[in-house]
Amino acid sequence: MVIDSPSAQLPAPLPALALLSALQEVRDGILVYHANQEVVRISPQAARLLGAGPEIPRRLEDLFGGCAEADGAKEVLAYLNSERAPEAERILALPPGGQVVRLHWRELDGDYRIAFVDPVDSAQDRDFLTNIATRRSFESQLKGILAAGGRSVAVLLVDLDRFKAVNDELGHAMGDTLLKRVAERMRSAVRTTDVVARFGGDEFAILLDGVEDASVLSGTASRVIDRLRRPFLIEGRLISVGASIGIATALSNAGGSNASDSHVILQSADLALYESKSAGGNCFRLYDPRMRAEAEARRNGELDLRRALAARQFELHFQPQVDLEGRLRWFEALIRWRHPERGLIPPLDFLPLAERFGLMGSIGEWVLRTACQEAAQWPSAIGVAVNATTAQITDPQFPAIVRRALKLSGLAPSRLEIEVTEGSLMANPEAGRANLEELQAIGVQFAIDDFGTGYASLSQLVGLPFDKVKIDRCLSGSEGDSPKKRALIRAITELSKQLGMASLVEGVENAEQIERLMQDGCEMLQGYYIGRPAPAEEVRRFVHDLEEAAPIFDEKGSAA
Amino acid sequence: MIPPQLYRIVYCSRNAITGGPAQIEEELEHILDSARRNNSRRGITGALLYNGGSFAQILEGPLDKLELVFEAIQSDERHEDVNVIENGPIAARMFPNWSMAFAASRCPADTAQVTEAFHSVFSGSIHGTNQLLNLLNQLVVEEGAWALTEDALEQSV
Repeated sequence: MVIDSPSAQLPAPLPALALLSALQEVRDGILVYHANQEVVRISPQAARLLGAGPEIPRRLEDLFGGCAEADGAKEVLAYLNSERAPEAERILALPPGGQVVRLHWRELDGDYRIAFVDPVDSAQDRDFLTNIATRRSFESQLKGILAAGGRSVAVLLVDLDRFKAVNDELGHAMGDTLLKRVAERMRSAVRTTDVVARFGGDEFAILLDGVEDASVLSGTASRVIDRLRRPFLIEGRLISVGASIGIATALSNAGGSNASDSHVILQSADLALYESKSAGGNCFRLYDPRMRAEAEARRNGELDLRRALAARQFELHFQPQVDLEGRLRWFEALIRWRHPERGLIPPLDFLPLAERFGLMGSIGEWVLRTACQEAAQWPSAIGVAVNATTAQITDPQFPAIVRRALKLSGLAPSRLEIEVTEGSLMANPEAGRANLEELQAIGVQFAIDDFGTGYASLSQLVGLPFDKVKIDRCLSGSEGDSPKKRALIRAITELSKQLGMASLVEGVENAEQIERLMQDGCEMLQGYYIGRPAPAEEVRRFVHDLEEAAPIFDEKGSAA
Repeated sequence: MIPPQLYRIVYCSRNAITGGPAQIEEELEHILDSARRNNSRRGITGALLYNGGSFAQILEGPLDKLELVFEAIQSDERHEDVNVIENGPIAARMFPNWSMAFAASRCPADTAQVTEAFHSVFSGSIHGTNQLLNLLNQLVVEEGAWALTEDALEQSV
């Protein structure tokens, strides 16, 4: 009996070349080449994907020599000729005449290598603008690495600083060119095997596979930041942006990882990115569990604020402004938050949060409407002053919002004064000015607030048509009798007078101050000595007792 | 035919090449070699100054080519802390005959002047820009077609 052993019929070991004739038959994209760069055999599918003609190219460079930019020919060839092929390493290539493929090689006997050529659905895996990986492709590669297990992986989320400003100022075409250059610079700052992706807008990400050493991580992050902060020359213009980076790492353990890991690592990197942005940009932060707790607290704060708006926990208090005859002229509306557990919260403790969560628009609109409604119930000689934030004053919708508040309340526009700070107008002078002029045309008054704390730019006073200048308490306060400060106050009041603006001093706390401020040319006063902010009902009662707006302090300056 | 508008860009940066004078010399040779090769092909001319760990480079030529060359330089890891000190259209080239002239100060007086100029550029002084441009012009013109010498490197490293 003869037993035909299958192994007896096959030469052992199987020479790589014996496989080759079979390649004509397979459906896969397979390329066999020799370590000396010679193409040995190519399957029909690979030839099609790589755009090879009927004549089979002799060398690798004939196939990949003209690869498109993002993973240039050099990088693809370097990958195919690298010493070893670690398990998960792949490279994307766009050969001339071919389509986007993912390459992945393995060693065969006798210095032969086999490369698997897989088509990539370019519309979804390649960013149309920068030609680097998309978020989808990034995530699938991250999942692949995590699933393979045993390696540490790092995700760097990269966000450009000031990109929006560039886009707004120089137009989308230049913005797009900038994004392309950014992608190229990022590629130049990492290893060829690292994945660089664009998640959308000016958000990019880098996937570092197998980073064992923290110094490699910080080295890469610093290199990316350095490359991106170097100026770009586009159409003859120098453009400077910067980058913020958030980093999260994970050690993938075979069996221990699941599909949600990629989601968690991206989320962690995003929290770290938030920190580097808050730190002013141009820096990187490594994820720390503390960040998750802080984000949680922020989210609670946000929910709390949203609830406050819905449950009408905000209220307005009003602080009087008087002229030198002691006549009550205006009340400044000041927001307070009556928190069910924390009591009355001053604006500085919650408005910055509201601004960050994008709630300022709704809160600001509520303040305007409520203030106008309240003032409509006062004698007609008394107006209401409302603070507007940067976001409000530069919002193209702002004039419409103000007009609506006036219409709903029936308040005469001349009894509404809008206070803006110097800084908020500097942020976007054109938008701010347009809004200001539009509202002034219907009679709304404008005051420049906290003058003297920021730039105290006198030219700002000349340049914009304000009705009133509010001189900050830092100039008038208890140490306000220093000759320097008094000289500054005199300069401001004198200039205001000549420009037809009233001047008001904030932070008036005693009678001596009033005396001094009168000498220095101030026309209006506000402060604890004149009157503290009071709730709406109290103010309503007060003004009704006071039908004729009688003086609330006598001519010597002491309170009546 | 109207020749294309010429542009000039001038920047300073700090050396990031690690190693002793020999390695730096070797890298500088590479930089100059590839600059000269690529620049003459692209109609770019200019000059490179190396001194005390800092570079100053002038590039001049048609805008599209200049952008290509500048972008490649910006991705180069052999330097860092890039400060562009001048950028704009020019009427004529400063170094028409040089695909990339090289200057490293040879005498102590030059070194002191160049060091001072670099210092004021990195500290943001406008005065430093002119100072450096003048020096660069002067050094390249005065020294003529001189090659990279070990002597010069010893002084400038």
